[in-house]
Amino acid sequence: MKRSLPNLAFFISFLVGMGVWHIIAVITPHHLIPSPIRVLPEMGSMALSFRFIQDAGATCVRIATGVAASFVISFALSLLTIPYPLLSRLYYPFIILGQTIPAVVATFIAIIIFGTSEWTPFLVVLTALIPQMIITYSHGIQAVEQKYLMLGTIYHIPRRSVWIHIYIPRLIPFVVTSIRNGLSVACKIVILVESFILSNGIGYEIRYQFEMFSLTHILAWSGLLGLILIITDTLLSAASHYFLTKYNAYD
Amino acid sequence: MISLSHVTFAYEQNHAPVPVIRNLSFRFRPNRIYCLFGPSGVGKTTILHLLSRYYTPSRGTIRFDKQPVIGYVLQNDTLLPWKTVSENVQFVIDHKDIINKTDIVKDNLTLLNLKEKAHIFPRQLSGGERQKVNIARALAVNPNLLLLDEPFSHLDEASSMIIRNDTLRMARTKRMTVIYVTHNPLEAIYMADEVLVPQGSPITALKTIPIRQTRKNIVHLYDLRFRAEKIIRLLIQRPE
Repeated sequence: MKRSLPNLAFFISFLVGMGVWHIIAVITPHHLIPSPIRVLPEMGSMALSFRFIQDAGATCVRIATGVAASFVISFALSLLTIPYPLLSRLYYPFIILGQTIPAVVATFIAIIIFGTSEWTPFLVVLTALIPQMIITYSHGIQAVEQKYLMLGTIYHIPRRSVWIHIYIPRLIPFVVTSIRNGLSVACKIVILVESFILSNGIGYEIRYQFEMFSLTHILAWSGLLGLILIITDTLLSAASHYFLTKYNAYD
Repeated sequence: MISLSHVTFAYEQNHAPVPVIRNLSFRFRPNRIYCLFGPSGVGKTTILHLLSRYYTPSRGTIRFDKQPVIGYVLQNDTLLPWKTVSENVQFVIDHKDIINKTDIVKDNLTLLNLKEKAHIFPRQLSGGERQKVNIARALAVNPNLLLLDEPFSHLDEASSMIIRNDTLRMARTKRMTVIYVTHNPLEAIYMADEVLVPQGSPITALKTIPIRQTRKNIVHLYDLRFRAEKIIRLLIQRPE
């Protein structure tokens, strides 16, 4: 009974959302907003189409490669600050710069430099995520308890082992959290870039439907994107819960 | 033999040195159990950190007659939560060029009655068991110098009594020098061959307290208490 309660709450919230949407669609003049009765079947037929697989696949690959590359680069850069703490001061101006530049500006710059190639979304995602991830991992490194590091000194454990057995496991909850946040940021950026310049992906489809003035299809594509994100986030949330329980100190 | 010769140590706090030990000289004889006894914050842990070579003296020297192999049980629980009990013990010997590491881990866990817990995570252990694993890990390196920093302060009396006896047994069997920090006088008297009380602030000397008679007196006191408890129990059961 207790287990089914969150599922019931989710279902009720879904039904309430659909109800509110339907009411808005009915009362809006000239039926400008399509009701869920029209959008949901459209979503269903799209989800089964080859076009959806192609576009969603392209968007997911762009998001995944951007997040993965950002993770690898920022994790390596952050780990380097352990033996060379001065590096964190060196990164600082770039982190601030990366955090303050709006994604849209980075997109324009990347479009001018790389045109309509696949490098554009990739590099915009890197620009947005690397500073965020470095900050997260730096906090993780600072959070490694001195008492664990003492073991390394007292028992003459090689530095490599200390990294592998203390630093990296302790950083795993931070990695999972940063990837979870990174995916949502990367998704917004990739959709934005696709809608500007690319010729496939969910962002492209949304822009195309906008040019066709088809709000039903815009909502259907957005709904499918939301569905993909909900599934991904559910999986990551489970992973996050597992790693937070396992890798965080118990006391 | 471990000789501290004119050792001085100061912490850095707000770019100013805070002296903890000044010109301290002392000799620890081998295969004995020493108890550093004194109030909190006096600098007992600093002495252990210096002996473990985690800290380096600002001045003076610490000499070891033979190459020390140090086992150190820190005041705080230092088990890595992401490793199982056996992995935690193996962690400190993994890098060493020795064979049968798994057997060493198994033997030390068996000695402390932890064999059945080898494959579980520290969070699944009680406080007493965790501290036993900390001790098993310190013993895994086969130390000739065992440093213990208030290892039982967080435990209930029953658990700490068992671990105290296990540690004593282990120290005698393996012929180790044990240096033990506590602020519990009974524990100091129970465990130690010699009780050392730091003198001065910063510490300038370690004063040896004669404990043989004290230990006898305490045994006598405990005996009296035991008899008194027996009488009280009889009185309670007495029908009116």
